[in-house]
Amino acid sequence: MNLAAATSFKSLLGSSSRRVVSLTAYAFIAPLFIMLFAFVFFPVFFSFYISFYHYDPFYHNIYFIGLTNYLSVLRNPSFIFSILNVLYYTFVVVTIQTFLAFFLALLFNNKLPASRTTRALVFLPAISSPVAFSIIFIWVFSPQGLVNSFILPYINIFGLPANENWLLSTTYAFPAIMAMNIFSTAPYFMVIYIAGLQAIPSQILEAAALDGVKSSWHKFRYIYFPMLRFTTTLVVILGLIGCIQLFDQVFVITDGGPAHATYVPLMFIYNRAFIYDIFGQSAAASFILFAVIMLLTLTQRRFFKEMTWA
Amino acid sequence: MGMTVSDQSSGQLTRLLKTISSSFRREEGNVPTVYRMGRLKSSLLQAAMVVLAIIYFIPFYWMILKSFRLSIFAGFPVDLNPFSRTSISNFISNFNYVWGFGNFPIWYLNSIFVSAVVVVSSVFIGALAGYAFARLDFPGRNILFYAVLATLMIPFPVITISEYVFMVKLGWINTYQGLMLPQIASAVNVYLMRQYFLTIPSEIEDAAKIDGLRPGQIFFRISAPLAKPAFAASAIFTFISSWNNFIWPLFEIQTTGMYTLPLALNFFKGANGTQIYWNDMMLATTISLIPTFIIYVIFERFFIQGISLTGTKG
Amino acid sequence: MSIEVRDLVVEFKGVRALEGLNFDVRDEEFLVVLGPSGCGKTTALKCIAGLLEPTSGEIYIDGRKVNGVYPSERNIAMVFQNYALYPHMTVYDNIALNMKMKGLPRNVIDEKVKNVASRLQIDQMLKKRPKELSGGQAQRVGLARAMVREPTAYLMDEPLSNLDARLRNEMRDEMKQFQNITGKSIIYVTHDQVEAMTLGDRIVVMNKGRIVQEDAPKKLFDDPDHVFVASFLGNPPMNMMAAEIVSDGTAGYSLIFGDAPGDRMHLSTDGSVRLPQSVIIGIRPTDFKYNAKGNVKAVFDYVELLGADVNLHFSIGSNRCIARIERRDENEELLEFSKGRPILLEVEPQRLFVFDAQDQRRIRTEVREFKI
Repeated sequence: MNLAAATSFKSLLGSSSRRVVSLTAYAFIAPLFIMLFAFVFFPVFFSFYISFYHYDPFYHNIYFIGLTNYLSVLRNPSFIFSILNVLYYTFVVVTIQTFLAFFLALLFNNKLPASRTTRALVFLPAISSPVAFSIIFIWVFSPQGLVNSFILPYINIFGLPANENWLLSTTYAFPAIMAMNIFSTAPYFMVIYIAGLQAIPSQILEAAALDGVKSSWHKFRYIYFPMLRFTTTLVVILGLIGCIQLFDQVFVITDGGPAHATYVPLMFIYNRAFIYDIFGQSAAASFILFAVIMLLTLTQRRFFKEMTWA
Repeated sequence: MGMTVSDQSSGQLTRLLKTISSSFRREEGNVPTVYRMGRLKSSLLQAAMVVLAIIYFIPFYWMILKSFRLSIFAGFPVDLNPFSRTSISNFISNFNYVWGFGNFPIWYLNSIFVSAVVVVSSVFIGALAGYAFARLDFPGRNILFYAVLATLMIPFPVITISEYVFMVKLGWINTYQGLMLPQIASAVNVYLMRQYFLTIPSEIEDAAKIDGLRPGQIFFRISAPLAKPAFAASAIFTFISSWNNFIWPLFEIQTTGMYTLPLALNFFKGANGTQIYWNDMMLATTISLIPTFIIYVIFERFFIQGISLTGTKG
Repeated sequence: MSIEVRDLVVEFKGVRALEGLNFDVRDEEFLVVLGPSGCGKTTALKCIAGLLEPTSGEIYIDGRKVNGVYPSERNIAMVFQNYALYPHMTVYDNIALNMKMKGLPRNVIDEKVKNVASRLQIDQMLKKRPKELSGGQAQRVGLARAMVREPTAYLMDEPLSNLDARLRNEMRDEMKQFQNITGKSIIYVTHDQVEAMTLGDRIVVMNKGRIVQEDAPKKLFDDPDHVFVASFLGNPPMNMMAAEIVSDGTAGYSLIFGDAPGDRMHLSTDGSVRLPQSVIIGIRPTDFKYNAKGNVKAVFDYVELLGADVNLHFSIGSNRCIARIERRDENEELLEFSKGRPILLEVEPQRLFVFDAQDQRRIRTEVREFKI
């Protein structure tokens, strides 16, 4: 039986020369898949398993409870609130950061003397650790910080009050975190847009110029926008996946407060597991979040059609 | 109809990838003649870029400035020069305090050690697999590659909750191996490496086969040496994400002695209750960012291009 | 026989790239495989090299079946269109790598590399890297790398196609010399008919994964078996006119080749073969003469002046044709004609090629009379 399996595997791999290639390939992907099985695939199954259990690893208090975790999570108003909160956050951040990234890419996609250094500086937030950058932004929004002392006294933005303790305000704390993340992730997506812009063959722009496409608006309307549709879908999807998993910034800056104003699903998941030791609910909430991500990404169906190149 | 749409955009994607990979060898991207612009337009454009760069740099500038000041409060200092003589002595006194606070040198070493191990192993494993997916034909190649890409869609709590439970069971909570191992399998590195290996002409490998190199030898003697830019990009990328990683150490680490820098910063932030001592806080933040910034300055080219390349991961 | 290919079939995802290829390469033969891009010629070469596993069929090198044998153990060497030199190694190491892999002692390697390098005149470049070389030099290194292995046969995949036109002419001579130096079989894949005609002892013409005809260059040109071969070889290509037979009597055949009432031709043959209903008439451009007592009525379009010759473009009915005519005093007026002017051209009937329109094969019959 074993021998038969081995020979049929051999014939699947074909002649000896092809077999050398296949065996090398399996040897090359083996370390990756060992790590993936141990630290990705198996954990996913295991999380799915414990989402149906009352699971407390410390007191060995484990028993099957069916869908109870899912139901109690879905009935928990603070979880529902966190989901709605993060969807609102995602909508605002993805929309604005995508436009901003595109604008930055148009601005920085050139070879002028200033472009290299300035682009490098604009990119700094994207490499800084979210924790460090969050701490700097605690200052930006603190009572004596940048916003209060240097921006609002001079520039009136939507009639915002000039002396607010932003991060302690239930109205403003979440928008402040949104602003910070738009500010810091737009440059990352700018780089992807620049790659997309540079992939447009220069002959197309030249041909278009001869066809009378000269103004910036027309170039945008007839060339950049249609040709960058794939890049935009990519930027939106990566943005969605990132935004829905918002955690570091909220944890460091507001810890979900004030009064739940910045409460997001990952805070809920973290608290269920590490404050209340209810790992089953934590896992169930994670899978609900997974489903939300899948649903949102599947709305970009076109994208999956285009994935066929992989 | 659907076919044409996807064909068209896959052509577009191929072009995109080609540009990205060819820009590995180029200083800047090609600038079409249409972009050639008048003096006025280019000055305006440069002015706009400089303004944006200043806006983006202000928070970091304040961070640096503040670490040269003694005041613990959040206001913007009047004296904007960080390098006067009093400033430097202030810096030294802040530094002595921060460096002596808790286990700062140990936290630093922890971060360096963990990132170094993760970078070396993750890049090596990613390069091997990326090469196999790009160049070796084997049964199941496409399905396995999709499986790798699919891991990018999984939200991390789905994985980390179980990983935490495993670490508890294994007794690996609060250990280096517990900290490092879950960070090693990286779909991004596999993807980046694969894309780069695909750009190496396959005839070079054909020639090597005829010269008697086996597939494994071809990787080590021919293809890997030709993929140095991809190794650089993927190493830097892994370094940054490991150095900045917060959520997994937050789950995994329980004693301050095992902290990495992001945990240390968060700990430092809460050290004086709700009052943050901004001078010390900013100095700690500055020194935690220094390694990333140095690497970024040296390898900016590979870094930006690596992000563009992984940015097309899908 | 140094290489035998038997019933070679290659399928990529259900699409057949090669449909049962059979050919032999004799010892010391320079065999050219000629065909348009996508005809499967490179695929066949890769199968022989072992870089591609055929779906079915056998390959023998020196009488040994090599299916499944690793490329380096097939005793062949290959030269590539894009040279495929190892960019990170010096020229010396590029040439030496194969011997290093075999574990030959260093002094033997050194001697062989230097020997080959001096024969191909690249001994001044051994310390350079591939990107410092010109195209011609790079391809010489490619040849040296192949030669140092002393193989049974050389496989060359369009080795001159990346060179500019002038260098290609020079290198063509060197390729011929290369065969003289090595005295081994060469399979040379190309889409360039001039390379094929000048280099090949024998040419295998391929189209759509099949061999259309194989023969010596002169024979292929003078006596093509197939419409494809007839139109692929020769520049400008052979003029082809499709025609339907409307009547055949004792006086010969009457054919129509267009919709206009005048689109008729008349021909008679030696009678050895009966012509089918649909035929294709082929005439080489060089077989036309501009002559007042010509047997072909045509309409002048324009001329291209090439120097000593002209390409005369004209129409017969709706067929656009080309004649290559040597300039002489009596036909100098051609340069002055304007479009639409009726002209007469002469073709010797024996020079006509007749093909069966159905299977595109040549009908071997001698034409006695011809008139349009």
